[in-house]
Amino acid sequence: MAIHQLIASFVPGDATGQAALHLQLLLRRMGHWGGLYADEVGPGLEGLASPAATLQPEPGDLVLYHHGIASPLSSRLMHLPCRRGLVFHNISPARFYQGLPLEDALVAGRAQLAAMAPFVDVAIGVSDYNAAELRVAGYRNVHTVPLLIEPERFGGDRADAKLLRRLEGPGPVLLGVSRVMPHKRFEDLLALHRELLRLRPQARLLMVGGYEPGSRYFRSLQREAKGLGGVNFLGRLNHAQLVAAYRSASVFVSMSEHEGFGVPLIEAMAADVPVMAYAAAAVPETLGGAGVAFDQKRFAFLAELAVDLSEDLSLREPVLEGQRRRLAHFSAASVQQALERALEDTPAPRPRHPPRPPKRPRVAVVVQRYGEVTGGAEMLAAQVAEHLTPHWDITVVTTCAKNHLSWENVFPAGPDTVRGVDVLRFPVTRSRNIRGFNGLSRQLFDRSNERLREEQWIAEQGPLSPGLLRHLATTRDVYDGYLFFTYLYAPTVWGLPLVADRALLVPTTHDEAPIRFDAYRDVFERPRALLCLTPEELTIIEKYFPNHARTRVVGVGVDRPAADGTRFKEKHGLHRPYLLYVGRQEPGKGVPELLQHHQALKQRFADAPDLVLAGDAHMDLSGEGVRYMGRIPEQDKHDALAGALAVVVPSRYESLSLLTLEAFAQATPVLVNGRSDVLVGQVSRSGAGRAYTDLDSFITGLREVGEHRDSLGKQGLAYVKKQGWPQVVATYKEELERILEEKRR
Amino acid sequence: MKLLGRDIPARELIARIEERLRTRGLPTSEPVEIPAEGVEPRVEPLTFNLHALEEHSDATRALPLHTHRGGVGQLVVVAKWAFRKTCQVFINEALGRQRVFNGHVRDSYAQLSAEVLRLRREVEQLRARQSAPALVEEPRRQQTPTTRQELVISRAATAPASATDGDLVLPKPRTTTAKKENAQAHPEPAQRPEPSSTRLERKDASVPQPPTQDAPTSAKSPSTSSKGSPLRGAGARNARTPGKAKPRPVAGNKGTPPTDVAANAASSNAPQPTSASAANREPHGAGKATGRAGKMNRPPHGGGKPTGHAGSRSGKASRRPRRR
Repeated sequence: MAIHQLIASFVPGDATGQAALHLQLLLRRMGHWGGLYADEVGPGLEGLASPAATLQPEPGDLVLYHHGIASPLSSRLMHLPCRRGLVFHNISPARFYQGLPLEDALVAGRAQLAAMAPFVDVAIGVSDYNAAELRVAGYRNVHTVPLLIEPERFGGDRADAKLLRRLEGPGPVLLGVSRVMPHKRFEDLLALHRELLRLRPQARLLMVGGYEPGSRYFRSLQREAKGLGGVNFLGRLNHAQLVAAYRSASVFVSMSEHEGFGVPLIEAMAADVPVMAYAAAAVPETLGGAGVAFDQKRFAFLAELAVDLSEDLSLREPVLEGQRRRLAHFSAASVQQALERALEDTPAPRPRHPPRPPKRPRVAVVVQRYGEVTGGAEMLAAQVAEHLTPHWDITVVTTCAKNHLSWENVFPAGPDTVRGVDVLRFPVTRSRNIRGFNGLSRQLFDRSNERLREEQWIAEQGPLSPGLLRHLATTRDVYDGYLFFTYLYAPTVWGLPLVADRALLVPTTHDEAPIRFDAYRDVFERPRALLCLTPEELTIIEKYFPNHARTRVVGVGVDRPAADGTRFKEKHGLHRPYLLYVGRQEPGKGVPELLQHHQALKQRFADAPDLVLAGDAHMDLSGEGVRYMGRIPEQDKHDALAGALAVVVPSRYESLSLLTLEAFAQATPVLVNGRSDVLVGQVSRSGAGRAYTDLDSFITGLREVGEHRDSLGKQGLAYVKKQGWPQVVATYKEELERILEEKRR
Repeated sequence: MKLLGRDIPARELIARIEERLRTRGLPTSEPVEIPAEGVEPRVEPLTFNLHALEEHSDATRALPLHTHRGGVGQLVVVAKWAFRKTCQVFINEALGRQRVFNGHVRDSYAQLSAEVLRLRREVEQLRARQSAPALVEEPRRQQTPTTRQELVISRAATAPASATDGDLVLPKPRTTTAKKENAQAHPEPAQRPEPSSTRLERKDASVPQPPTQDAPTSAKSPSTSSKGSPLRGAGARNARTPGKAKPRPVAGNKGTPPTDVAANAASSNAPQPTSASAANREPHGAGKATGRAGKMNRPPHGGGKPTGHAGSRSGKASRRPRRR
């Protein structure tokens, strides 16, 4: 059974869309899988939400429809052949828009609300106020599930530095945040500001929110503001800028005449800004005693109050402290409890027929690709699966994709067997446009983002495979444990929370930009254990996720097949010493820098070795002395490793370099990118190579490696002999045994 | 003036600020009657949709000329007006079949919604019958409604608001022109053929007298405007909202009585093949039901009160209120 969500509009800046994302997050934590479906999907968000017309729930599914203003989706909900739920975000009273076109849409929304009542199994108001309206509209089984906030996203470190600097200046600074609509009463904010200017001539008013520049209402506000000083219409802001606005304010003020919840109130609390709000509709409930609510708009009085809240620390500090306490009510844990109560008649999916207890533990290995694919994490997953198959009933749950750039379906969907391991493949529903994805990455990396944007990036990263997620959610009791590989991809980010209580993650963590996304928090905090490959990886996890799950450095075993370097040289006509890199030939792996260094080497030294490259190429690999072999068989790879002068590992982002260990296994030293802590750690612990950071250190390192190849190679061999698969397998078994032990209890 | 907040010394703070205001020579706080906020009333969907269909069935009629923009917006309004003035005949020609189609949709919906209302009442009646044996025989003779309609009303008067309660609220004309038309068409509503059940309802002294089509009252019903009630009706809001209060098919509050039109619509036996909305549609029938043909023969016009897009996506996405 899935819990899908239906939304009229899924676009950035829409509170309903944000609420749907948050609900999806909580539903995953509760073990429910489900998709988002919207009538209007914002550009670039197609990976996160599908068109409403494509929603085809199964009879046992639940569809939660987010209702606000009139939408044809209400008719659709009533006719869906499944269980139906409604999340009510309130509708602005039509009295504020009498005679305007919006009036009818508002009344129609209320008519639709009442019409849906007999057809809805569970109704959710985001406040008690909304829940009361639901009851009046004829709903039964009504629950209150407040909206949640992620306070860490409003920390001072998340503010846009540029805007923060621009907004520096004298105070007090009042802030209003909402879409510029008549019932939000921005004119009252201006009236308050006018009074405040009498007390503090340097006072400023920041107004944040989308507006239509040509609208009469906005123009009247502009005219009014012109007569005053210090008024700043900031318009719609991105998340980092919004945080900057909050962080620049002395007091947040809401003059709105109607709020079904009031998201900016709790955002202001999260940003440590005292809140002053007109006690309309659900506002007192949202404040819950925190901040200051008032029942009359006496602007002279309120201006005095704003001054006190800004300047009188004996008043301000307790208010801020109270607001921080209040935020707990809107925490994910608290909201999840409310949601669980609301959906208590909607149990987490159970198998139709409880399976017989198997003789051996059944474990699903979840990885984004599997089979004939190039990739360190995928290779590791395959090795682990193959080594664990004699001990567990392994099923690799993966996609039909072969190429990680496009995620195109290549392998047939359904059961398969790869080197004796059972594999279950699910199709990918969306191929990746790598150029668009790189553009999005440039927009989002190294800045503060809202959840929507981070989830968008994860969706674009892919691979999107709803069937895989549904499989995980519906077979919770079929598998005794789940072993996820790689933190980065969508199957892990969205699949792991579904089965977190019996999930182990091999995160293969890299110190890269997306690891700073809060959206990865669940991945690192919710599994039973994180199985790291190196101590350096542990350090990275500590740095970004201090509340991470239990960690353990497991490492990886290395096979030492017999190899013959001469055979490789003869086969491929290599007559000169060569450097070797085997792996994905792409910019992200540092290959362009390697090519540059090699070409410079060739120009400076006549006896410079050749460069042999093997693996899937996604870039041009031409150059003097460069030999590209394409994909090569496993035996060829080991022969190549054995025959190389040195193996070069140019990647900056590594959680563990299998190639390094495989080189050591053939007694070949390595030359690694010195900007990767993990690689430097591997080299320093083994003493079997050198690190480079620029051309000079590349040349120096190569010279040293060339001169001491044999002794360095011996040290590498000794290093890998200490790490064997028996130790690694024993550790995996031990971790799964912990889960099984708990299950037996 | 009240300040609410757990973390502030409210009284002390108010006193301090009032003192400062006094010093500045500004008026200080006086007790003010603050209207109690209640939740919004229920909008009866069947009634609302019926009226929306009636109001928008004529595709040749213009939407109200309105703009929220100044400057260029005004020019656009003038251009629209000029277009209508000069091209109305072509519009009529182009949308003639759409009008006919919309009329069929409206009539079909009216018939179906009337059936729904009738069936709901029958369900209520059956439920009431099921619970009736639990009562003592003697009181039952005195208290149990003798007719189906009495029974429905008695339930409506005691039960909490629910979907079926709301269905007792009946259609009213949305526009003043429609009201006038209806007034001309039915100067004496009581003289129209009326099912006996409706007459029984009106004789029931325990419920308020139902509004007639000439004087629809449910939107301003005194029973819906009691202060502090969570079910405060639209009347209460309209009463304290400046400007014209447009009659709306709102407020499914308990005890709000049915009007003739829906009573007719609810009765499947009533001889009204052209649906409950026939009375509203008929321009000058004086009791003669001209039905859809009468409506379609009416000359198209471009005026009228602002209309919306009931049941539709409410126009542009930009009109959807966003968070910010």
